[in-house]
Amino acid sequence: MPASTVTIRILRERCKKCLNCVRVCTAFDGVFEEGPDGYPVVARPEECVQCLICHTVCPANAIVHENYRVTMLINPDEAIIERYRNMV
Amino acid sequence: MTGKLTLAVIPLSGCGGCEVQVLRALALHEDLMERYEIVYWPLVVEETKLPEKVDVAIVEGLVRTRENLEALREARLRSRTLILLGSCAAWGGIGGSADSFNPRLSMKAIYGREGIEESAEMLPRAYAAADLVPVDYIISRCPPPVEHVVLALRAIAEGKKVPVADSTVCSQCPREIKPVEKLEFKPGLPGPNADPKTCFLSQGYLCLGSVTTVGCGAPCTRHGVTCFGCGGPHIEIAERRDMDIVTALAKKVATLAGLDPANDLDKVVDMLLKVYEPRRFYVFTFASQVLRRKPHGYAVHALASTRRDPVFVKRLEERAHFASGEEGL
Repeated sequence: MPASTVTIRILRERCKKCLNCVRVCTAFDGVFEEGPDGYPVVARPEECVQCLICHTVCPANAIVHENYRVTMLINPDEAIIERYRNMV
Repeated sequence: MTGKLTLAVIPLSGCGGCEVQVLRALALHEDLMERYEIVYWPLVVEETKLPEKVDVAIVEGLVRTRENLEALREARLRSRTLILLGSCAAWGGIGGSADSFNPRLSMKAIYGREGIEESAEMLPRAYAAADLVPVDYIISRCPPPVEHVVLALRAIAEGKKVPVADSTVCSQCPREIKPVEKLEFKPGLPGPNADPKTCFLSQGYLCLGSVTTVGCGAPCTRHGVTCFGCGGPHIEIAERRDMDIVTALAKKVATLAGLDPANDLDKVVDMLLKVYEPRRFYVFTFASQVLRRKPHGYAVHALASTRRDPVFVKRLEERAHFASGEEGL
């Protein structure tokens, strides 16, 4: 996943320090880690695979993924034209 | 005109508590009284007909009779902004539990006959007003906090947007969430033995705070009562087809207990439904079509189990027998 596009934020005024996000993260090393003050911190944002399972298990909806999975529909005609142009 | 916005409050089948909250909002905040002119409100003014054009209409209560349905449609047609007030209008509320009973049998149990010609025509089921007409704003909860009513009315008068609630009751609850060592659920409400500082979910009691939309300040959990979900489900649960109150809660509890929320979901849901009746999760959302249409939801299970409940049916039949006997005397 392009790490530069997604930014993960944890809203501290909502967070309940239950650390469900640390337990559940499906990335290999885990995106979240318990910080020194008990709040989870985003330690490895580049690991995030954007499965968003942390959203479903957070009791207070405190996790925000910004620029999450920008979906673009390409124009197939343009792409085909471009391909043929390169071939010729 | 005087430059004031016109305000109409239309009561449907409800208890009237939400109307009292509007009354309190207008009484406590003088700037609202300067901006709004009440044109129709059976509780307050003597006007008996809804005017042709209204700026803001507030609807309270659920749709139970044909008269309610017509009043709701009229309110939508004639108003520029329609606000639904309270759990009944938004999700069906407590009154939505009327769907547990056969309406004809209920009429028989109370009045001794199946229908009363001179009375209002009962619809076959109870409807939440939000399922029937498009609406602009929903202020949920039972009763809705005065602050929310003030915020909405003030924003509409100033031409602004009202912010959307996108968090849950947990974010305002002071209780501390601790991981669960052994997953078990205790039936009933927490007694005096419950720890006042720890989250109810961590202690094994059923608390719907983590799936209920934010806005109340968590007064129930502060006073040692679990959340019953009067605000209705959180916006993400309401929107997404793959989520439901039961499954969303089971996911959160499973993760607290160290289980996998995807693989062990069915196990936790089975445990929850073994201890609690399905209707316990839908106390305020029983009549809502939003939750009944969920493909992995349990609202329809709750409805079916309640309708077949032998205790309920037997009690109703006994009462019907008693009522008919009384009339014969």
